[in-house]
Amino acid sequence: MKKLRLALNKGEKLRFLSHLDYAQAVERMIRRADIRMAYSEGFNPHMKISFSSALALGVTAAAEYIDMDVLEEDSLESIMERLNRVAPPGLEVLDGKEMPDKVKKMMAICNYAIYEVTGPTTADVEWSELLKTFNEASEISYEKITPKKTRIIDVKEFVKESITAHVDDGKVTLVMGIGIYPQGTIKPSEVWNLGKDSYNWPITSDYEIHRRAIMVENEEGRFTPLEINY
Amino acid sequence: MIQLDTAWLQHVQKPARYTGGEWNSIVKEHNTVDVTMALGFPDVYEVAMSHLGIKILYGLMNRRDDVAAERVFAPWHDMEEEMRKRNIPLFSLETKTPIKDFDILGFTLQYEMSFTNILNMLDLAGIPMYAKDRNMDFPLLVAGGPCAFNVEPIADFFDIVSLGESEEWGDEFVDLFKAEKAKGFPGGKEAFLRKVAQIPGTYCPALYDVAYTDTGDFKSITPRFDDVPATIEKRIVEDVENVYFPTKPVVPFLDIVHDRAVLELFRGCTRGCRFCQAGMLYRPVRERTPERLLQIAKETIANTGYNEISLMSLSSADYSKLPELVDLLMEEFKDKQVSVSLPSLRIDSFSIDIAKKVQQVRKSGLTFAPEAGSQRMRDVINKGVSEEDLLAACTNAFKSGWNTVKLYFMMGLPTETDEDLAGIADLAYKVLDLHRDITGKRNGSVTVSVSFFVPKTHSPYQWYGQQDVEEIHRKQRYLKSLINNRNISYHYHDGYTGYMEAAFARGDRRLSAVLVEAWKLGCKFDGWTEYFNYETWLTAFENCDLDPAYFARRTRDFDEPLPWDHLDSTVSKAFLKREWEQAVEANLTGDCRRAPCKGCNVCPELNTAIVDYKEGGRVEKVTFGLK
Repeated sequence: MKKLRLALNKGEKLRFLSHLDYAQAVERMIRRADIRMAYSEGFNPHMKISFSSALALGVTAAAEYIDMDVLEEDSLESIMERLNRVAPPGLEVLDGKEMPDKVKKMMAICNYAIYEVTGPTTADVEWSELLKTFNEASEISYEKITPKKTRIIDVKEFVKESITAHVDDGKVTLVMGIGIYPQGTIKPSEVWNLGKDSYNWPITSDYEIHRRAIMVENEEGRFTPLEINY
Repeated sequence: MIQLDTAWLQHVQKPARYTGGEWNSIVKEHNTVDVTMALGFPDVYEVAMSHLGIKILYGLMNRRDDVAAERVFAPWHDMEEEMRKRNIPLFSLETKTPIKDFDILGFTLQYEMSFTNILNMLDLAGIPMYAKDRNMDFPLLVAGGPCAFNVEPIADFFDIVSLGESEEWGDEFVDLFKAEKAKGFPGGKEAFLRKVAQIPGTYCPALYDVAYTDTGDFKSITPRFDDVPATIEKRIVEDVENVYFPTKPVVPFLDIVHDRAVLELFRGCTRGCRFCQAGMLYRPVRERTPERLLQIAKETIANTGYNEISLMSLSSADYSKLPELVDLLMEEFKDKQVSVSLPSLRIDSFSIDIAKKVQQVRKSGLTFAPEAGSQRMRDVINKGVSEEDLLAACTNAFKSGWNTVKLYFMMGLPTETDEDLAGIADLAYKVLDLHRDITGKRNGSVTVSVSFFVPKTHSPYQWYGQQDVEEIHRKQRYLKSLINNRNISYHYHDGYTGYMEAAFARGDRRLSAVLVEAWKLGCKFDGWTEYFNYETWLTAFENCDLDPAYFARRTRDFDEPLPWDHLDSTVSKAFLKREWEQAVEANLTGDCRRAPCKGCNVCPELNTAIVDYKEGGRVEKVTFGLK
């Protein structure tokens, strides 16, 4: 058995797949490539594969990462090529490496993501000035509503760095780094709507979300899952 | 090409229903082909994509370089609202082309209660509903599927109806269409339809005149031209072994209703259950060899990445080489984590042995369909199953570790008494007791599901007046009063849907007005309980001065002309009439498969024969048709 960590994208054509749909598309791609995989024991064996995050329906990603337990001796390069031959449009295997047998669950260690949220602007503004209030605030309380409960969180606990803006052809793209912690996180759409409703950002509820990166942040810095060995 | 903006599309439910791009979907430039075709299914994506017929047609048509075939399904309510608000016409999944721009728009007719969705889709497409309002600038509307055998209630909307299996018909039709299109359709639509009508198995409703008696009964349907056939015989594919079968079906991203590879073992079923329209329509039985099926299975799994393959047919356990096939499949897939599933089980111990083999892991539940509760009633409907068979099957199942059994029944069958209904409760209790006796445990569970019988055309019950809804509701309450055990759950639906279904199942052309009226009043997705509105349907009938009871509840005379007589399933009316008489006497008619011919007329009329590999393939025997 060997453990491979692969980087895949979730392109525009797969934007509307939920995490489960995307995971299923990946599994079916692996089966079409006829890669011999390890399966879990038990009554309902499933492929040993784990993801770095649960990408929401509507969100594209430059890279999503999977760990997979492979039972064959084929090289990493060849496996990547076999996968790409049967990958659905919008999904491409970009990179990969062999990992030690024991690794941590990526979902537990990936604690930082960078999102680009894009939508039409309703006014010409100096964005760097406008964003200051939000960026320089030490605390922003926000009522987070989930199907289960409503609670107050501090946005700045998750959005620690300044949000930057780029305007192009009547559309603004806000780039935001968001922490994903055991105590929770905030969605990029929630930050967008908060800015619209409470900080006078000239935007509407029309937006598209793209995740530029998902990373592991530790004492030494931020790394992609392919840059670490655990 | 229609542009769908993420900003709003991400807020409808499951946007992937509308975006296409699935693995194995086929995108062709329209200017590189001669014929463009939209394959429609009048229900939501997850239902439509589960349908085998669409998969076959999609692959069949797209294997031709001169055809682009794309899919179009009914948008869900929220999407429809967005489309109407934004003036987005109905579009295809592959190239997002407006449906109005296709040469041909086909619909598969699976269920009467999906008819309003067809109208709604036409409206969304900007295509006039009535065929008479469309010239050749609009797509030609083509229908097929089981409801094509009584297409009359929607005949005014369609240009062409394909009767029976359409693999061969499809190519013949497209060849003709392509040739005539190249010539610019000389003589217009009517001239073209007259040419299409020459292809066996084709019904062009506009080429016929319908007459009614002074008292408002159906009288006759006659061709308007000498060269148009008075009756249309269904088509079958004789060589099921070698006919095209799709091994590269579209693999959906969404979790659809039947999300697995499909292996069609054989066509037809000659058990002769008298309530069953499919058993009459798809005769004769024609099997594929286990070798061919293994080949199809291997290719399909390799091309899709599915981890489950379903053995599909009208009665899969009747496949003569089932044990051999199951062994072949298990051997082939043992290291690939591909499971084999059997959607329908015959009520016998043999089926349980097969189920044990294929369902080694999940002992979820077993489903049987005794259809009726008493032996007398089962004999009336020619369901050749006894209580002993059921108990033997359950004994085997419980000994093998199953604890849950689902039993399907019908209510409202001809000659049915309360005693027959009591038999349903009785059977449920017997199965539950059996579980306790065998396992010594009290964790057995029996689900009893009872549907309201809808008499269908081309079956021995085509003359039978459906029972009143009120009477069905009384019977439902009566049966409920007999089931008082927390380990038996009893499921049933209100009878109104079955009543409307019955009206359309045996309706005539006058009902098209009712459909349009019902659609105007807001009816759609009528097969979905939460969207079916009985009161609105009654209003629609009333506004059109028609009575659903006339179509659903009236017992027809044997010598009365029927609005579907010209749509010939090749089972003779005399045979159906004899089956009706046998039913009333509770006499059984055996399966003709390995016994002498029973005279249904299909084999001699189509000059064909049963293909059964236990009998060495094509079975040459004397066949005849009762006339």
